[in-house]
Amino acid sequence: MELALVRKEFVKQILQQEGKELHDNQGKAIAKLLHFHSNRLMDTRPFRVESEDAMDGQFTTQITAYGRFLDIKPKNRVIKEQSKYTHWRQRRRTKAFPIYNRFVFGHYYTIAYRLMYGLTEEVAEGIKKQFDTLNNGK
Amino acid sequence: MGNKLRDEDLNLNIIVNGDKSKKELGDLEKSTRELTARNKELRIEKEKLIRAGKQESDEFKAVTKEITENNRVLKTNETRMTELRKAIGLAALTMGQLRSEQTRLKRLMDSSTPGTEQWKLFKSQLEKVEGQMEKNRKGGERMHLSLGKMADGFNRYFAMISVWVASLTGVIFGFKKASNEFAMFDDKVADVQKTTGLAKDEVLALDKSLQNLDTRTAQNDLLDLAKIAGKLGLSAEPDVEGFVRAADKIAVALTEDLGGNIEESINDIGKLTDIFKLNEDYGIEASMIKVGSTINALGAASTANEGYIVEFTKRVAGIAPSAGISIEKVMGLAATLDQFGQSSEVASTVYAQVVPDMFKDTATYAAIAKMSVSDFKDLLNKDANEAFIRFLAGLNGNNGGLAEMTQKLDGLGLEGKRSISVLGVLANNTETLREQQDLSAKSFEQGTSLIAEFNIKNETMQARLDKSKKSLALITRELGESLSPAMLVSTNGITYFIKGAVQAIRIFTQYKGTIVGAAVGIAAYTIAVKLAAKWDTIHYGYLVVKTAITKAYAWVVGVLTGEVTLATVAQNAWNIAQKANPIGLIIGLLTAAATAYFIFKGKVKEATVEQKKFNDEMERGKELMGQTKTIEERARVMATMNARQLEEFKGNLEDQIKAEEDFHGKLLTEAQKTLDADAKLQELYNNRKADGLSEMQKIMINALIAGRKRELVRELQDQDNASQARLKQLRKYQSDADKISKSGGGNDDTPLSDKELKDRLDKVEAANNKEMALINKRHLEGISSEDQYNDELLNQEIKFLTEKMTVYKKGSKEYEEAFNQSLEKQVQAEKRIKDLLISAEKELAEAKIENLVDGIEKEKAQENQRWSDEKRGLEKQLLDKKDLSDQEAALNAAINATIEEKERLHQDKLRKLKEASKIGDLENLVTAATPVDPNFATLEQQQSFFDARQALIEAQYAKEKQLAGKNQTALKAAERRYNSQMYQLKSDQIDAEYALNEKRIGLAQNYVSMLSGVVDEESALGKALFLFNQGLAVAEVWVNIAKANAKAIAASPLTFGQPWVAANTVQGGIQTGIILAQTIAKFSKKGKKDGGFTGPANSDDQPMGVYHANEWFANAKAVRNPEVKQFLDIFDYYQRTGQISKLNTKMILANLPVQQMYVGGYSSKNTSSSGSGSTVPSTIPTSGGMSDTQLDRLNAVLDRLDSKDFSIAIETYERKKDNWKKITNGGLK
Repeated sequence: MELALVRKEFVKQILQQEGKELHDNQGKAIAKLLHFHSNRLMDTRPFRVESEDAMDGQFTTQITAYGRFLDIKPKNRVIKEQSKYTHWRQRRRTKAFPIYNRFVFGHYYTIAYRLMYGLTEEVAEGIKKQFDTLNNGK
Repeated sequence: MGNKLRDEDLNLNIIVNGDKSKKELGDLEKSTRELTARNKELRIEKEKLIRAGKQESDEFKAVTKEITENNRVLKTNETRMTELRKAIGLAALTMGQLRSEQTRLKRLMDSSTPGTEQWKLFKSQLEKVEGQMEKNRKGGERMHLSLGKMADGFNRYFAMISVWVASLTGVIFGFKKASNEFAMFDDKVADVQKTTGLAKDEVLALDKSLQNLDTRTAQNDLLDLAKIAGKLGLSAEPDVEGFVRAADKIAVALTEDLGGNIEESINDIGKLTDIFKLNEDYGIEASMIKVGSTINALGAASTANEGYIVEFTKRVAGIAPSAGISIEKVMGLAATLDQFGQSSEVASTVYAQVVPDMFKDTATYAAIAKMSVSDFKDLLNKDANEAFIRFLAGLNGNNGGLAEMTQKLDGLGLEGKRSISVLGVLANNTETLREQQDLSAKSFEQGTSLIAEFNIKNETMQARLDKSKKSLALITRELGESLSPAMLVSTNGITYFIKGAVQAIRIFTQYKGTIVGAAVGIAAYTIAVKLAAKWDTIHYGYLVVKTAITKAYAWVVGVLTGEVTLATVAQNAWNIAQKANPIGLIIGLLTAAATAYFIFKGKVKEATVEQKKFNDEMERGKELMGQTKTIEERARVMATMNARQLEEFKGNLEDQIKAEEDFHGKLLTEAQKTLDADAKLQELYNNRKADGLSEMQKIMINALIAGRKRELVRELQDQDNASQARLKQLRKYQSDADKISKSGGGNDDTPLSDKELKDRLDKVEAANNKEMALINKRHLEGISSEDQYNDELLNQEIKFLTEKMTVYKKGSKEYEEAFNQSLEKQVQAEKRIKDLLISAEKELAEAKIENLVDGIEKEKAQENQRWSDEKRGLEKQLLDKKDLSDQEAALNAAINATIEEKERLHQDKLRKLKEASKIGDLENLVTAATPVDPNFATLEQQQSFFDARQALIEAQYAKEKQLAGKNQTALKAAERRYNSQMYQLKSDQIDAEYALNEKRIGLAQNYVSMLSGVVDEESALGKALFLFNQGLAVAEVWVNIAKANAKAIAASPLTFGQPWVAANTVQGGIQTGIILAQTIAKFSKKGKKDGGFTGPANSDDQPMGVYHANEWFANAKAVRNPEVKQFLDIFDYYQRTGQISKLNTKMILANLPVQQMYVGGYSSKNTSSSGSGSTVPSTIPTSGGMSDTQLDRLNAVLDRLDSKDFSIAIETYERKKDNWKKITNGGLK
């Protein structure tokens, strides 16, 4: 029972850490690659970590639909970008903006690896200590 | 990515685990990635600063410092990662990690000088890494390949498979042909039986004897000839055989010449020999040969046709013998008439009219013959043929005579003109007639012409080929005879394998014991022989047949062309044709199969004999095992041995003693050798020899020598001690045996005196009484159950009677009595076993589907009852007063929450049970889920739908063909499309047909799986569900197999879906077997009738044992609950010690570990969650009752409990609840 709780907590922590990193890294990439008008793409990226009886943990993140379209390689996409010399200029871009798959799958495999090998005795002890601190205020 | 963007749901179903090294490696890799990325950013920043001319700024310095620090960490990481990878081992690395290791090593190699030590080291490491990667990759490829094979199937391996299919088809048809051959033979035998009246065995003997004939006539044709013999009235086997021999010669020699139906001709000839009464003079065979020779000679000597001769002779057969004209004369006449072109019909009619008329109107004929009436009459009586020739000679040049004859013939109702020409031709050629008749007579007399002709025709090239074919046909027939039982199952090629497989399974199930026994012997034998010789024989057989055919062909070609070169060319062409033609392959396979069969058939007999011998040996071995018990065992029953056994035992003892003594001697030698060989000991000896040693030193050295010796021979000494002990025991046995011998021991050969008999009987009875007392005691103490007690009693009785039998003299009244009693008891024991089996079967039968609905209803009622009890209990705990403090309110809220949660669980369970009650509608599903379901209405609808689709495809194909006209490419394309569409249609149809069955099975399985967590597996309902589920599993297997088979047949109709159908069917059989084995295993588990813990397992779902009537169980949760378990331990203890029947409440209370229970925590023994049953309450008293001290303690504890302030508990609860919220609602806010 105790181990089950520890495991659940461990999964949650991993998901939280990786989720945060995913959010940050993706944010950085978006900021670097794209220029914003409304910041909707950047701001509407909520994520949460949940825990249910049926599973140890669940990480959910969202991105606006057009963010996913940007991650598709286009045949002919016209983008507007700010230039040093002209105020705005239009340019054709045939490369995708790697802002979704790269981060989702990158972290997906990292999560898998960490879950597979990360729950060492030290980690488990650490989580138990966290419980104690929370419960008894030690 | 698909055409649409959807929410992505990435699941990870992995085992969360820990691996220190791998975790560290993962962490390091992550840190390396992050640092590398950071360095990249820092370098860009640094560039910017340089461009801005801020090289000396603090910012620049900080960036540089960070880069340096990062690089240092990266280097450390790299070193550590290398170490870790080494420690983990290549096999445990992921492909990604292997790739990065490969890159690292490649870089290192690039940066080091080729050929140096360092470079070589990197190279070998790289090779290892790449080797591991290759290994991993191959594993993946293998899987891909096998899947690829399945998918590509006929496309990629079409050529290979088609050849194989052709061979298989050949074999199937070969078998079918063999079977047909035998069936045909059987028919022929029946025909022969019918006409000859011979018994089947006689006909078979006849057939056997006819097989020895050196003839090109097929065996079945020979039997046809035998049938004719029967029709001709021959019924004795030698006559029939003689007729066949002669008729065969006629058939071979005159087939071409007789023309038409050879059987009819032979029939006619046979009739002629009868009509002309030749059989009486020469016997059937000789007369047939004589007639055959005559025909052959006449045919060979002139243009006369042999068929004509037979035809004419047959026509005049009514009149000629009556007139005394012999068959040879008639045949000579026939040959002459045919030679001169007279039709047999007219000629025979004229002859048949004239000859009798000569006897009637002798005067007229005498006048024509220019003879006196009396002379002519005499001649007519003596030799009618000569009189006829004289008459013909008289007609020659006698116009008046001819005119008179014309009138005469007209008067006889014959057309004069046509008839007279017959007589005219004969009149003009009387000389020829005489010559022909002479030749005929000569041939008849000699009777060799036919045989000569037969010998020629029986040795031609074609004849030899026919003979080879005949031998092959005989082999085929015999193969067919053996295969016929299998072929009887079906004569239709499509179902051979399916039905055959079913039949095989049935036969195997029925005779599996015998088959397995024989198969082991045969298999072992076959493998050995096959390797040694058989394979060569088969191969050789094949080569012989092949060479014979090839050579035969070459000879024929050579003879025909007369040129060797041409023959060689033809030979080459034949070779090529043979290679290209699968018929060659089929013949080869058939020959090989036939040869293998014969060898196998012969070897089976041998193998059966060997197997029998082997079994006998095994039996003998068993007996020997029984007799040669160990000396110790035999020594124990020494007293009951007869004189012979005692002598034998003494002899064995003697041998054993000798062996032990020898062993002692050997040990001594061994010890001496060891001592001599030891260098240290020798050194000590040498030291002792040295001069000037003090006494003390000598003693020391001696002590060392003794110690060393002891050390060296310690093991040998141990062995020797054991041997001596054994020897001592053996000698004791020996002296005991001697004593028994001297006192006239032996109970069989020498009759015992009454006293001795009584003593021994008393001994046996005493032993029996002791055993019986023990059995009774165990039962009274409750250790053995009623059933066990009865079994033990029965067993002991049988044992007692057997021992009694050893005391009495064999054959005595008492012996017989004991023997009968023992027999009776044994029957009783067997009955008991049978009863047990029946009750087991009954239990299985009771746990059938009928119980399902009732069981579920009961379960629902129980669940309702349980929850109402529990709910009442919980509600009682609620504090019912108006002004609740905060803590009390919180407590009430918590209890309400618990009730709510449990109510939800209860409702959920009820819902599941309610859902599952629908299972009743599906009760007959197992039987309903057969591949063909006539009550399945939608099948008809489906059929009409698919028929319409098929019609459409066919119409489309017809249209396309029409459009394609003569364009072959377009035609082929249309055909390809048609085939592909038809296959797709068939496949869809099969899918649709099976879809509903699959769905129904799936639905039922869902219900069962839904109940799996709700119903106790060991309850009647649980068992019923298990059986039902197994039935579903079997049904599912067979529905799938039937579907796969149907698809296989649709895909390859030419081969009737083989080999997939056979493979699938076998697979289905195996799967069913596994499921049945599970079912049997489930119901054959040993129960825990005596009570007690079931034993530990990893999961609570693991079934353990069965239960019996009138029992009660605690589930795993109860066992884990220390509060409950302390009671269970008490029950267990009393159960194990057999005192459970005396246990009462007072004793239970007294045994409770009171103190530990209330101060919190429990003894380590009590907390055991494994339920191993090894725990005993620590306070179990030796006598029942509760002491005053204990009661005092109990009261004190209860007082303390009263004074407890529950608010602490609620505070803790609140705090934990908050923490819990924090944990569960985690994530970043």
